[in-house]
Amino acid sequence: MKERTKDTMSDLQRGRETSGQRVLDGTDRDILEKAGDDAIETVWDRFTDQQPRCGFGHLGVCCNRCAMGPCRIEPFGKEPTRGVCGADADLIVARNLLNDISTGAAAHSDHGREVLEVLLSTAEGTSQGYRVIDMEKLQAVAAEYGIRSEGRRTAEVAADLARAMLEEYGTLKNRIQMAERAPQKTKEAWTKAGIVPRGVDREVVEAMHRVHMGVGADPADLILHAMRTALSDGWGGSMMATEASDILFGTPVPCTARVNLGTLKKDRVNIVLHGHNPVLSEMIVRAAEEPALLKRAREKGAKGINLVGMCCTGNELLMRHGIPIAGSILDQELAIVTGAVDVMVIGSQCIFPSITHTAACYHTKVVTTSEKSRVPGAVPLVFRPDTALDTAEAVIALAIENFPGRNPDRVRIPAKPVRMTAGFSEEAVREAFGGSYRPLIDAIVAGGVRGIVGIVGCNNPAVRQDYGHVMLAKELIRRDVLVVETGCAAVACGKAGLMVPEAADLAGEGLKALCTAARVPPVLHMGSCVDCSRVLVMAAHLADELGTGIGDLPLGGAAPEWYSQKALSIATYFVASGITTVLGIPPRVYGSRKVLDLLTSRLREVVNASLAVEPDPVKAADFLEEEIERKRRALGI
Amino acid sequence: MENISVRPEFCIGCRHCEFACAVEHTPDRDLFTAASAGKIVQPRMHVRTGTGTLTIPDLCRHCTPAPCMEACPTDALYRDTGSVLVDEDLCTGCAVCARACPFGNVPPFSADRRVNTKCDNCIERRRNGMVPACVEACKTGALVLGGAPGPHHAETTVPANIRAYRAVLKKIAGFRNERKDERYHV
Repeated sequence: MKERTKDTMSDLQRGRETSGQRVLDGTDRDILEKAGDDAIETVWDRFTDQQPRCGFGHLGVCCNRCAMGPCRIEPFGKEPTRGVCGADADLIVARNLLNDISTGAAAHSDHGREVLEVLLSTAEGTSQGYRVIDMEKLQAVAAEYGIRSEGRRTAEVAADLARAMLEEYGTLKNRIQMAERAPQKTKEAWTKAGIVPRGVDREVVEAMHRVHMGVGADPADLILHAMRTALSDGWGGSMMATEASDILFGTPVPCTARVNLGTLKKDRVNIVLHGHNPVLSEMIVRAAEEPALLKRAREKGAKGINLVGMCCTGNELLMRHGIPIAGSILDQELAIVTGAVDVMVIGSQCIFPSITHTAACYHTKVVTTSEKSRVPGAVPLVFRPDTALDTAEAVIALAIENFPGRNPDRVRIPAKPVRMTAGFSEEAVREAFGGSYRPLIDAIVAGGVRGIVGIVGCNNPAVRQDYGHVMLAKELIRRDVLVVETGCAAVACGKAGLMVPEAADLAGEGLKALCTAARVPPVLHMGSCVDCSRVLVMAAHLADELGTGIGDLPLGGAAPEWYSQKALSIATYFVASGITTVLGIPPRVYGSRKVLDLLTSRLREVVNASLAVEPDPVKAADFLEEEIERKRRALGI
Repeated sequence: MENISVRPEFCIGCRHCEFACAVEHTPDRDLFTAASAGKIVQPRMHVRTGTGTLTIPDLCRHCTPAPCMEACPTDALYRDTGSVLVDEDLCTGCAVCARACPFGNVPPFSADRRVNTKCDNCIERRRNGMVPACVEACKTGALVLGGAPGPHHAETTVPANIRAYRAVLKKIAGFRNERKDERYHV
C-alpha cells in the first residue's frame, strides 16, 4: 500500500497506539510491529483514519436509499423527526437492519449455491477432480429430501439431491426442506410468528422489496421478516453449504493442526488460501501433492510447498485436512507483511479490497479465483468446475515461479505456531461423546455442565484483536459452560491455546470432567461461518432428545468482535431459533428505542430468546450465565 | 457579533460542519462542482475524537485578546467586528500563530499560496444576515450561535438510548488498554 508519510496529524495520533493495544496474540503483535517498520498501512491505520465516525450512520438513523434523500433523523429528540418520505427513526433503523441482515444471508446462501453447483456438475460428470467422498451423508440427506438411494448409482442420487437443494432457492415450493430439521416446538413458534422461511432467494428478494420506500411502515414487521430471512440462511443456504461441502469433501473428524502466522515456512513455497468457499482450495490441496510440481519447487530452491489457510477457507481446510491456518480476517495483511507469502489465493467475502496494494509492497502475488470477486492488480485464474484441477495446478506453478523473488532480508516469520484440535462437525461432536448426546445431556441435567454457548463471528479493528473471543471463552469454560466455535472466533481461541484437550484444566470442575472423559478441548472448533448451521443441527438434536424446542435449552450465542452482515444474520437466526445472543459491537440500531426494545426484550415473547449488546467479556458471560440459568429453572434442572 | 458556542454532548461526529465549511470556502460554494473539479478544499474547523470515540467540534474561538494575533511577526492577523481574520498578502506562512494558539488549533495553510486560511467566522455570510456555514449544517445543536445553555438546562438532556450507545463505544475503546492478560497461552 502507499508508503505513509510521517508528518500528518493522524500519524501523531496513531503513534500513541501500540501494536499491543491493537492485537492480543504475540505473533500478530510481532508482525504488526514489522508493518510499522516497513511503513505498511494496515486495517488498524485505516480504522484510526476513519475517526471520528458519523453518528447518524452509526445510530442507524441515516437513510441513503432513495433520491428524495439522503435523510437523517435528529437523535436527541429535536427536528427533523422524519425523512422526506415520512419515515421516522424507528422505521429507518428497522429498514437498515433488514438490509444488513439480508446482505449477510445472501452472502452465506450464495456461497451454498456455488457448492451445490459443483455437486451437480460432479454428478453430471462435467467437473474435474471432484467426486462424492461422504456416501453416507449423501444418502442420509437424500433421504430427507425423499430421494431414493438403494440400487442407484451415486451420481444419480447426487444429481437428484443437488437439484432438490437448488430448488430450495426458488419460490415455487414455498418451503425449505432443511428447516424441517428444527424441533416441532421451534417450528410451531415460527408458524405462530409467521417467520417460517419459504425459499432462500425469495426471502432476500422480498427483503430488498420491503426496504423500498412505501412498503410497510411497521418496524416490528420488518424485524420479523429479517428473522425469516436469517432463518432461510441458517436452516437453508448455510446448512446446504455445510452439507454439500461434507458430501463432496468429507465430513470433518477431529484432527490436530497448527495455527498462527508461524505456520508460514521460511524454506518452502508458501501459498495462503483466503476467502470462504472451499471448492477450488480443495483442488489446490490435491495438486500440491503432484510430484512434478514438488520437483519444480525443489529446482527453484524450495524444500517443498506449504499450504496455509486463512479466514473461513482456512477453517474448511483445517477441519477436513488439518491444513495449518495462518489467521483470521485481520491477519490477511499481516501474512503478506511477513514477506514470505509467494501467492495469496483469494475467493470471495472478507478480502480487503486493498489487499493487492499491500501485496505490491512485497513480492507476493494475489490470485483471484472467483467470477464474483475481481480485484484490480490480482492475477485472475478463475475457477470453473470443469477445469478446477488445471487451475489449481496453475496457481501452484505461479507460486513456485514467484518463490525466488522473495527478498530474504524482508522476511520475518514468528517463531512458534500453536497446536490446536479442530474437526468437530456435529457428527464428530456426537461421536466424541460416545455416539450420542446422552453423556452431554446427563452432565447438563446433573448440573456439572451448565449449558453450551456458541461463540462465532469475525474480528473488528474496533476491538483489540481476539480479546473479546478469548476472554469470553475463558470466562465461560471457567463457569462450566461448554463452548463451540466457528469462523474467526475459532481461529482466535486456537491461537490462544484453548483448543487442545489440556485446556480443560482452565475449565470448571464439571466441564473438565466431561472434556477429560471424552478427550476433547473445552472449546470445540465446529468450522467456518456457514458451519454455524452445525450448531443449529446440534441444538435440534439436543432438543429432540429432551422433547423440547431449541428455545427451552440452556444455550447461548455470542459474536464478540463481529463486523460482517453475515455475523448479524447468524446472530438473528440464532435468536429466531431460540438462542439468546450477545453482540460485542453495537449493531446500527441505537437510534431507535423501539427497535432496541424489540430486539433486546420483546422478542423473548416470540422465540424465548433475545439479542443483547455487551462488549465487556465478563459482563457478557454474566449475562449468558443468567440466561442459561433462567432456562435451566424453566426446565426444572 | 455573536460567537459560535459548542455543546459537545450533542455532537455525534457526522462532520457535516467540516463539510459545509469546506464547501463554503470554495469559489462557487457548490458541493458537486467542488468535488468534480478535483480541487483540494480544506475545512477550517474539525471534529476531533475525544475519550473513546466520542467526538467534539473544534474551531477557532476568536479570542480576545488573541495570542495568535499578538504572536504574528508580520501583523497579518487583524480583528474585524469581533473576528480574527488574515490579510493573505501579509501572511508568510510561518505558522507562529499555530504555535501560539492555547487550544492547539492548527489552521489550514492553503495549498497554492501557503498562507493561513483560518476560520473567518463566516463574516461574509453574516454580513448578509446568514448564520455561519457550520452552525447551519449542524443538525443536532452541537454548534449554536450565541451563549449555550448550561448542562442543567432541560434541552440538554441526552436520551437514554444515546447514552447507552456512548457507553458501549467507551467500553470497546477501553479494552485496547487492557494489559493484565497478556500472557494467556496455555
